[in-house]
Amino acid sequence: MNIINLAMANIRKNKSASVSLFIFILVAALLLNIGLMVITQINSFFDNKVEQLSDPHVSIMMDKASYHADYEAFLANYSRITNTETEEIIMMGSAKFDFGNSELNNSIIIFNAGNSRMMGPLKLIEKLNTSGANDIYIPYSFKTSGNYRLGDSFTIHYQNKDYEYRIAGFLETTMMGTNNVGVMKFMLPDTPYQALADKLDEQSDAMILSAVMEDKTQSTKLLNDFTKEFPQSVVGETTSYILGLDIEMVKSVNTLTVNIVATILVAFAAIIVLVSLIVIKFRVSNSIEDGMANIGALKALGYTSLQIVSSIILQFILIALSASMAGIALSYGLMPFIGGVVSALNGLVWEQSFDITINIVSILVVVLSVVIVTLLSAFRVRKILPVVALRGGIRTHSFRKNHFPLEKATGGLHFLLAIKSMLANAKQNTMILLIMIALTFASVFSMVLYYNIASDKTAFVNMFGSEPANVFIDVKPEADTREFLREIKQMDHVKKVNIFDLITTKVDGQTVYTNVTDRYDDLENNVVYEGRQPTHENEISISWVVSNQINKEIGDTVEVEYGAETKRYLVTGVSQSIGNLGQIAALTMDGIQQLQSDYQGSTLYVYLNDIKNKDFIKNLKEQYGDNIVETLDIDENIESQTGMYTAAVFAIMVMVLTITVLIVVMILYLVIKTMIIKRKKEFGVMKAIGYSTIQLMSQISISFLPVITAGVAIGGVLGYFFTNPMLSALLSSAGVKRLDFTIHLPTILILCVSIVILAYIVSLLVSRRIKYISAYGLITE
Amino acid sequence: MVNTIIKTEKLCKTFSSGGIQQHVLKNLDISIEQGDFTIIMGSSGSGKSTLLYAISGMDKPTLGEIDFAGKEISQLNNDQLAIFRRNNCGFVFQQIYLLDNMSVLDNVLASGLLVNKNKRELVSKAKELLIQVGITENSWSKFPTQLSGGEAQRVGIVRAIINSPKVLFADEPTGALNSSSSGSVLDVFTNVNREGQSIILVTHDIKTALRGNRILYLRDGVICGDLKLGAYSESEDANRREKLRTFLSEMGW
Amino acid sequence: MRIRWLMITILLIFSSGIVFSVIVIKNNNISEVDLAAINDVVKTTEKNWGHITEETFNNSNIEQAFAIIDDDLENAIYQTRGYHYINIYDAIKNRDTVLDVKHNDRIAGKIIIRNNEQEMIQQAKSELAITISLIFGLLMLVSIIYITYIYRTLLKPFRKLKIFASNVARGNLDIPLNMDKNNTFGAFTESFDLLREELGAARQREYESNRSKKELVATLSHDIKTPVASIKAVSELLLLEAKDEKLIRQVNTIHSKAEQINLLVTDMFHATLEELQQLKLTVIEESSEVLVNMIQNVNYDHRIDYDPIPQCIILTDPLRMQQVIDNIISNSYKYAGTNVTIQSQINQGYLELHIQDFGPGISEEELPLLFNKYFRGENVGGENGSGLGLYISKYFMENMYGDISCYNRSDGFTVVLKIRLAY
Repeated sequence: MNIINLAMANIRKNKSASVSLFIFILVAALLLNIGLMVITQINSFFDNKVEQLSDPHVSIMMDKASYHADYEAFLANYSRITNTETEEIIMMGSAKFDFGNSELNNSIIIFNAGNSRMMGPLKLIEKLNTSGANDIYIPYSFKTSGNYRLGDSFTIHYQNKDYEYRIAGFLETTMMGTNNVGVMKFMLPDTPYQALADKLDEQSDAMILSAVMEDKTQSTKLLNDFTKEFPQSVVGETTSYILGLDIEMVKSVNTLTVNIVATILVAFAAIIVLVSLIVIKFRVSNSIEDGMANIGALKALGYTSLQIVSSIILQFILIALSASMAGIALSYGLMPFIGGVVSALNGLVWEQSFDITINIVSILVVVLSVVIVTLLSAFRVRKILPVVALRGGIRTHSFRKNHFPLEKATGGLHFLLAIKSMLANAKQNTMILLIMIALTFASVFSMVLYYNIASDKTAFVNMFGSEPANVFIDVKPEADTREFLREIKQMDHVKKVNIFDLITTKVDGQTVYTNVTDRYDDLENNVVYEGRQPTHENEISISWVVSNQINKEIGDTVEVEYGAETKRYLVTGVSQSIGNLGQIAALTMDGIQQLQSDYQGSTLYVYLNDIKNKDFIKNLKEQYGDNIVETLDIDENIESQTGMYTAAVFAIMVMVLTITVLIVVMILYLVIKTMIIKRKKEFGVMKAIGYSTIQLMSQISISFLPVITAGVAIGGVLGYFFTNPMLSALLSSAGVKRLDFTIHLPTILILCVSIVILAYIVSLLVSRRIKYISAYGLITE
Repeated sequence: MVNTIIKTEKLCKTFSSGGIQQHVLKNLDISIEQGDFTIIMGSSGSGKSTLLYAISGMDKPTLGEIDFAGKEISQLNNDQLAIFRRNNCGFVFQQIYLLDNMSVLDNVLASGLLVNKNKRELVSKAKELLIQVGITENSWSKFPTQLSGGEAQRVGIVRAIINSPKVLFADEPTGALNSSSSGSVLDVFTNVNREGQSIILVTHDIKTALRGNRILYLRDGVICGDLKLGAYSESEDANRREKLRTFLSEMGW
Repeated sequence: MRIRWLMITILLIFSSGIVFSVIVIKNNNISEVDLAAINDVVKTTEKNWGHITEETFNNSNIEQAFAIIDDDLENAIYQTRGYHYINIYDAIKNRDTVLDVKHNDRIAGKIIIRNNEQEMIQQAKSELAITISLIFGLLMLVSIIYITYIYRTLLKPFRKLKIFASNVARGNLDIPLNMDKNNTFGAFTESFDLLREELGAARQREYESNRSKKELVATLSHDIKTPVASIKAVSELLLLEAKDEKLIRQVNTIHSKAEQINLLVTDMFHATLEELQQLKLTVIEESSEVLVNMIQNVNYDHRIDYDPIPQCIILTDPLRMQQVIDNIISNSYKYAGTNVTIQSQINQGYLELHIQDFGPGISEEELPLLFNKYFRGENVGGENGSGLGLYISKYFMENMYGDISCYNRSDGFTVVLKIRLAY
């Protein structure tokens, strides 16, 4: 009880120090808790949603013509299947609609909301109370990242016709709720469904087979077995198709981006927690040193070291406990924002549950770290004899040296005094150095993230595996693609043109989206992170997802099936892509011609100079309208595809940057102020000797600058070299194998210089206080 | 029959700075009697305070042994020393060292509660002692910074004797006080001593030294003079003063 | 405690060295053939069949050497550096990889890719060698650091202790024992230094008590001489007056015995003085500049004016010389009370110092007696002294192969010190 009194008395005494410590611990706990909650809940979040929405674990869609009753039987007899269901749906192979600020091209399947079903029933998050004749229910991601609201009109462009609907509700689904799976799920009430079915041709009539399994993780295997059992002839024509999705795959794609965001958040939280810990250590050892005389007096009274240390620890535990609790409470206030980001990323409603375990873990981690740090600092109290403490730490045997004796050293007086004080406070300076390094690293880290995600998105977008051309042209099959390519090349403002097809092939029995182009060297985004892209006709590169699925690596050969032909190819590289379920392969034009000798390619990627994409498209249509099936503004498409990621990550980045700036300023102020207050007596004496305020101020600044500059320099260099490796290492668990963020040197330099300047200004501002205090006041205080 | 309360044997204390040894106390053999008011004098740097702290368990001697109330304390570890101090020693410092984040009464209790768990009894004892030294009730909740030097030192003495220590140690208790405050503080010491409290006090002030009944003179870490003055009484003041003067001039004061 | 941590560290470093070596050796298996690169070569060859040049393979990143031969298996169309094609069998013998080159759907030639297993083994070996020597080098470095540490923390302090002990043994008690940072010897360091100090103090005390005893003897013997002189004088007077043979004989005995006592006391006095080490000299060669210091040492209140002393090497005992100068100057201060001027010159193998004051000087009769033992002039007044100063000064000067003399001037008194030049 006596110890509690001591601790409380200490807290009251050092109010401002306690408050600043409180804030640091609060921020640390806040970030840690958010990070932990996101990372622990994101995994089960998706699974829980699947459970909650009774979504199927495997969905197989096909046109009605391809449907066979055996399929259903196969599913029903497959081991450990709990339930299967078959339903008629409408499927639009390539539909266009507005999404966000741009137009999106995607496959759509449409369910009849009037039918009842066990798997994936209609679950509306929001809906209109009135019903109309042309109501439609679309996934929630249209609201979170597609800029739609209830009651808005929604137009689907399919087969050169527009179908207009009114959004009557947003549905929640795990399976086909976002635009990165390749298929999106809509629902229509019975009347408009029938109306639409009537309008469309037979090709759009489709069936969907759904299955729920005992063990979700087996879903991939089931789909593989299905495709093995019923090998499809994937001919280039789009009349017949079978499309399978399994929940594991969808989950990995869907949670990927969320994981990236969460990992970044956790990494940042970890850095801030670390910085806070260093600052806490700094504060704790300072407060112990300041209270040395008190400790001596207590020891003289007969307090044991244990009692004194425990009062110190208790003091900090009290602060840490209250601050981390406040931080955690605050994190619940902030979670809806994070939840919004998550919803934007996977189109599912984030329900924040109160996770007591995580909260306790966060509190424990923070409090324990504080205790350990305090223990480390307070440990020396144990060994100190009371006399030594009363004398302010002067020991029986001292080996202190007088560095740079004034009688011998050459150099300006102020410079020498500054150096002397720098060396005399070596321990504290080491601390400041550490803090500055950590701080600068954190700043550079968040700056790099911000720069790459908010300012220059290239590296971030490249991560998704899309090719940064400007205009996409779908050439009519009957046109001569190569001739057309040459003609476009002649057009004004065209930098270059590549054939860049995306077809589906089967690689070792696995359906894979396959890029085809003449020379991969001509492309701008090299998605291969290991090995190289194919250059010869018998070479292929596959994405790591495929590599994992078929268990093949560089140097192995794979069997590629396209149309009726099958041929073996040598894997020369492993690539990475986030779109198209991450299942990507790449063949050369020569390579695809091994399978289909008259393959000529049908997609052109045009790279433009000094012209707006829309204008170019207009020109193109005017000149070569006959040859073109369709054109696409790629920039816009990328924008709409990655828009939801960038928007989400941008929000996080803004938060990160804000916190960083706040913390930087706070720490600088705190550290410099502490240091100056600590040496107040010394300054008072110097003032009494006859040093002027200006002289003292410049001396303070000089003695700070080397340490701060060194810290900033080291932190900057670390940030420059280790941000990418660190992010790669972190994100590789989230599925990003290749990360090459632009480290914009000038930005970093400016950042570092501004930290130094900021520190200098803060030190000047703080040291100005000396002016108002008389020498006497400084000494006696 | 007098009892020896502290007895040192070949007590040495060596400091070193940059490797150069400085033997501040050299092979001291001292006995302190119970109930005595022992004054340690000596020129500055002679090792007075070092001696005081070494025999009181605040510091450890580098060589030699200290028998304190029948207990060998030179080999105790820091925590054992702390427990020993709280039971046997009271300290009064020149800089007073009251805990500046606690009130007057709390300062006294912070010491008392270590030994005496009976809070009520302790509080009444503390109040009694405070009144005895002239600290009135309206000062009890003040903070040390709000007290005058003399008042603070008297609180310091109360804090030191709240646990009825075997020996009260004082290091220049009047060093930072003006003469009128130091008079009141010295009176407290004399009164306490009359009640049987053993006191060891370091000073270089003759007026303070006069209060003692035994003067030890320390020079270069060696006791070179030992004067028995007899108990203090104001009537014999002039006589004692003369005796002390002679002694000190012999010692080369 | 510290040693234990050190042991743990060393153990850790060595075991990690071992583990690292094992890992390196285990991991150093021969890498697989780079199929992608080989495929690239084959395809490039096929594409460029008929016009293969150096530039064709510029973009290839194949590491192995290879050769391209035509279909009669005889001529190499192209071979990279490091490959010399002889014939197909030679290639097969070397386990080289042989691949067909197709051109227009028929086999047009072969590509032979050199089996570089041997090279790779060689490379692996050298890599291994480098790694292991690195590890051992690192271990060596650690050992050296450790040994240096041991040396600094144990051996060096121990040697310091040894030097200290031998210094003490030799009686050299002024050299302190410094405490080192780790305080390896703890109480020893402190006790030894304390011992040294106490020993020094004891020796000093002993020396002082001895000295005071001897001084007592010296004074006593000096004091005895006065009564003895009186006895002698009275006995001489008696002798003159006495007529009685027997009385004369007895007085003679008294006189001679008194004389004997006088001589004995003088001897004793001498002996004591010498024992007090006041009369021993060690003459060495010194620069004349030391004289300046000596003069400066007694130049209180700047009452001495002196010319620059000629540069030369003199024979002197600096300690005694100082005593002589002290004596003369203090006499001057004492009896003349004026300023002192010192002129110096080199004269016939001697450096002469003329020390002049401006006081009354002494009477001419007393002048020859000045250097006698216990002589004190008429005008000593109340000043105290033993009458030994100038006597000892003369003794010193003569034993330094020099001389001392003095004369009165009209305006004062001069003492001349002749100091022998070294040659």
